[in-house]
Amino acid sequence: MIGVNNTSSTIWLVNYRNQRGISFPFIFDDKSKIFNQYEVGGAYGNNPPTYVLVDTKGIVKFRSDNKYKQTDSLAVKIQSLLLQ
Amino acid sequence: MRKLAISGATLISALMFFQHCGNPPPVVPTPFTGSIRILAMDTAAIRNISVLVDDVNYGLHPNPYILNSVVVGVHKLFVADESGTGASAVVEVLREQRSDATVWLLSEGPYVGRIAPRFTATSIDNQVIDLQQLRGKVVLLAFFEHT
Repeated sequence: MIGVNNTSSTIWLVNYRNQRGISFPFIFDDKSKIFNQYEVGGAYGNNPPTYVLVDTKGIVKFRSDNKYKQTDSLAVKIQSLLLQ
Repeated sequence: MRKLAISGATLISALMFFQHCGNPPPVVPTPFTGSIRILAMDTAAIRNISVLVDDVNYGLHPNPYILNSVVVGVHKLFVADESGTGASAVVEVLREQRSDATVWLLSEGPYVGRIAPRFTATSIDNQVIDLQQLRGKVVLLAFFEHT
């Protein structure tokens, strides 16, 4: 899991993570480069938090926004990928 | 015809969609990146394989690439559009193969079924995160804001 944030600061993210004991890496996407690559944000008709699940081959398997209809929940998708 | 160079590179992403002679979509030149895998019954029979570019903006359009004298193995090829721009792709020709196949090349895109857009970034711990290096793992990207 990788957290991607574009609205705060590195210091804010460090504090946020330390307060919550989060272990996965955070990226401060200062210029919203990754946000734009993944078409996340109000400009793209969705509002974070947005989750994008990528499988072992690098293929997008799930997006949590309603831009594309999904049948399974995120948890089910992750479980099925980990079992492959 | 450019001769294909055999590469020892491991095929990290292999996508294969066979399509038998449908109506060809209109040609819209655009650069792209991607990986494809070709399956054919007989390597000697591989003579005419078209690479179709599945582009986010323009949809499917043909970018024919004729493979000659193909041998089993992993090949790197460069597919260019009419303007000469394009991108390299990796083709893996396997032993069990079939002829007259059309290969669909999948491009990057932030949509289900596409290759996740590649990025390299530095985490807040100064750890370099390269999505491509995470192939082989399931990756969940969590985009969040705070106000």
